[in-house]
Amino acid sequence: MDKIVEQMTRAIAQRTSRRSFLARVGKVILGAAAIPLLPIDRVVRAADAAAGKLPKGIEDDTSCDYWKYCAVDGYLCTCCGGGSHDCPPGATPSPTSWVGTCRHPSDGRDYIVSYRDCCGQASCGRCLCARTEGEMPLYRAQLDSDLIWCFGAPTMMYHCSTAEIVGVKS
Amino acid sequence: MSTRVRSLVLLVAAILLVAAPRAQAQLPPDQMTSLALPEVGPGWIFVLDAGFPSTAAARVYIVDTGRLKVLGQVSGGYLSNFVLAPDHHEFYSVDTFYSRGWRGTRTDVVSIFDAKKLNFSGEVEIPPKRLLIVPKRDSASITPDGEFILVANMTPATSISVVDTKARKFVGEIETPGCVQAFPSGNRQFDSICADGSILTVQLDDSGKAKGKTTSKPFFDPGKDPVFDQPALVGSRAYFDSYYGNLYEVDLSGAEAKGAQPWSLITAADKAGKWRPGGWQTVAVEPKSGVLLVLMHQGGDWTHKQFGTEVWVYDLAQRQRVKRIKLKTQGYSIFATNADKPMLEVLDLQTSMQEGTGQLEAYNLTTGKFVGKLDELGSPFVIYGP
Repeated sequence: MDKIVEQMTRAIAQRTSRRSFLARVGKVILGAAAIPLLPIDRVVRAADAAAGKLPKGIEDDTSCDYWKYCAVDGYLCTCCGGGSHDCPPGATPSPTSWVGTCRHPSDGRDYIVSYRDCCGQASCGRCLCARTEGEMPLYRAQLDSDLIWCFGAPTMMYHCSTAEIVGVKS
Repeated sequence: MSTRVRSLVLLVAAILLVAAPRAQAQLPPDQMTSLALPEVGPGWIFVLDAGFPSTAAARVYIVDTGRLKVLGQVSGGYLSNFVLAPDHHEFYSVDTFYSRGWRGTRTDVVSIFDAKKLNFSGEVEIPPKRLLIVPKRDSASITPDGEFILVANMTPATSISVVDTKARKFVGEIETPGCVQAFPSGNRQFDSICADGSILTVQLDDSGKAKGKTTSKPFFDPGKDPVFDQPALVGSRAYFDSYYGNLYEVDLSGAEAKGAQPWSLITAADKAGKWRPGGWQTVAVEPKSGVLLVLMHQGGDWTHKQFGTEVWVYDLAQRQRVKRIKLKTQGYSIFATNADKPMLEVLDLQTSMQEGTGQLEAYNLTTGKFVGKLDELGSPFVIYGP
């Protein structure tokens, strides 16, 4: 897991100029994170159990059943002028996020998904999707989806939620 | 009624209508005032509406549960928290504001309201770092003597801002690395819950600065059986329910928190029926009756935020379930009151995240019977007691 978080932090760092901030955030999150192995393993088991019956919206990124949204929590950016991993106009992708593991319906791989909020616009309020696979209470902040994950963004004003693949779980 | 009788009745009614204005003096002009609240009652609760879908302006409905009536409102900001002075003379809203509504400069404050007129009476500016989250009860709290307000911060580094309520001053910030929230456990002491399942106890001096910090042994295993992060607090005793249906009691009175052996809230049959706790504020204690209440639903793993369909009542001393209360509509947060009799208060959020149609339902805790409801409460997440 440390490796995954490290890769994720590195991937995020490549996209942003806020390196010093991220170094700090990375340290905080990594520091707290000898942690999430178990929840993620459990998600995989839950996905195993659910395999066979796929919901209708599993390939539709405006549906709460979309495969990448297995631990999303908020208003879907795809309903607000954005994409599943793109912010709507005028909103900024947060450099920080919580993470989940979702199984792709056809290739069967487990992807590490980073749930990055889009920040700096007022709340979008459309397509509320609150899924909780692997979601943890506040004391495991990096797995808590109720937080406003706009740390490091220009403002903490939450607009909508995305799901970005950051890697395949090895 | 025959046609003749009906005509007679209509005639008399018509005469009365014409005669009435002459017989009565005209109404005096209304005199418009602002009402004041009476003393905070034991049956009052404070319902925090997070203001979804916009979240820009939270508010707290002050509710008399005996009459199921809204008595007034405390207005807040972006994802505010509510704090009540223990002597009930003031209410506090812990707020974040941006200078231009959704944009501009961020300011975090503790806003102060007098508890009678609900007038804004001052504010204390705190570092603009407070924990912004779908409101959780213990993100802000107050020491039992009312001297210090404790505000949880997350940047995502975690700390607590301390505000002196008498001097109306920000005292300072106490770092709580890896630990979050502030459970007040004494006049000069609070506790935070940590990522490894331990509790950090922080002792304060009389000026509100940290005097000592002690980390307990982990009292649960977050990887195996995570506890919900809004325990029921009675004095300095905390009751945490867990994702898998166990109850962890923690004694927060000393310099080091002490967890007791957990006990199960569910039987083998309940487990087979997939019963488990879930919702938002999932556990409550009614101390006078010595009962613990847990919001329950049927669901598999990771359904910890599913709405509850029943509230299970336990005798705390016997650690035995004594009742199951079936809810009329699904609940998200629960609380117990006891003004003249023990009551269960349930917040139903249902569709209100988008439509603002949350409601409060009241049940008699002794009989389990539904008593009444209060609707149009926005998107209510948290119940605070007096």
